[in-house]
Amino acid sequence: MVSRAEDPRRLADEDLLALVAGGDERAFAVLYDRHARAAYSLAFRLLGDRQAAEDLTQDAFLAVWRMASSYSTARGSVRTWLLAIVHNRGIDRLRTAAAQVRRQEALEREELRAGAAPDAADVAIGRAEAEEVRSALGGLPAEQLQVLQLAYYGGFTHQEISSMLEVPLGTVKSRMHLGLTRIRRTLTASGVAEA
Amino acid sequence: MSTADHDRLRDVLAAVALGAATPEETAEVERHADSCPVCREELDGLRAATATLAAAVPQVDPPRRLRSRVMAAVREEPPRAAARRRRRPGFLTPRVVWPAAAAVATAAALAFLGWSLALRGGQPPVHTVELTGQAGVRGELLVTGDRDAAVVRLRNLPRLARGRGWELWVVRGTTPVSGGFMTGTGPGRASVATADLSGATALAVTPEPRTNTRGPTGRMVVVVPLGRRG
Repeated sequence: MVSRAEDPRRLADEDLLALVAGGDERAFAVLYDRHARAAYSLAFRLLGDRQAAEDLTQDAFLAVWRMASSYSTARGSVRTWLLAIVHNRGIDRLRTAAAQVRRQEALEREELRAGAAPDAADVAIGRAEAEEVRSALGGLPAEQLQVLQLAYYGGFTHQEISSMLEVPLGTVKSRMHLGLTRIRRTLTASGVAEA
Repeated sequence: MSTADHDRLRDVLAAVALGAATPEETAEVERHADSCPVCREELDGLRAATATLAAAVPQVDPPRRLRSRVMAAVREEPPRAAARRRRRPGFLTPRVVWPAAAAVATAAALAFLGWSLALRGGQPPVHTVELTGQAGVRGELLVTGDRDAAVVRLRNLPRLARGRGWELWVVRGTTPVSGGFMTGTGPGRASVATADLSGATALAVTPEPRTNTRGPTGRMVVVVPLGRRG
């Protein structure tokens, strides 16, 4: 039994979330401290604006507070779940009319320059994880990386990407699949099992 | 669902994982994956791959005021409903399933308690069994009601040396046959799909050299008695 007297900082994320589902603010604060940087960084990468990124991060953490009891370990770690919430809500915002101009600018600035893998030195996460990210993304063919970046960071649908790159929709879907599958294989090769 | 529909939806799994499919496609894929262990395993694996994209962004410290804002917002939320989740005793305690017979009985009991039935759209029903393995390994087994296919997903797996992987064994009577190596879906996580469980009495997972197919040599991290079909 997890008691409230126990120091929540010693608990695993999944156990903290169970306490959060019961309304435990201390457990929630620990989750925030562990993952706010990753959540905010993704929000900022998606929206390109500090205030908007703050709002999105707050929304995502509130969603965690409200939906803690619906979390299923089957679909990934707590961190993956949180980042998926940030991403889903982030691309919803990207798809509003007001964001279209910014998206176009961001697109011209960066995303259409195919093949620019993120600089792992710039990715200030754990060294092992940075290495994993570098090998996973760095090894992708440029046209696959481009499609993944447009979709994931740009919030563009497969149909939009097909139009903007002037390639058939089937090709876009196929590049998405090949790219993600290759990342998945890299994760496997680097050890299923990095705790 | 026809094979053509299955193939069409498989084509769009990556787009769904990336959030780049239409809402209609996403809903259709989610419905299908609820009753198709093969697509569920694939979709979850592709989603795990997108987590790499989330981790690949330059890291920026959030302003300190954001923490105060978030905590204040949480305090303004309405109080929780009465249904506070309470954990069962021992939830945090690593549970050893292998090799004692008593522990196997525990797993059987868990399997019995854990069966849940999801009937959807004429597909075979899919049973979900929560798994608790050795040293904190947890996971689940998804199996179609007709035992045509199953997916084993595990998490909290310890790290293995290079050249080794987690191998699934389909046990019939006392004979284990390799069901293939599990695929990584994230740190400490892996899944594997297997077909044809006819006559199988148990599933088990052991750490093995990647070249091994002859029989289990490592200690089982999880064992799942399947019981009689019926």
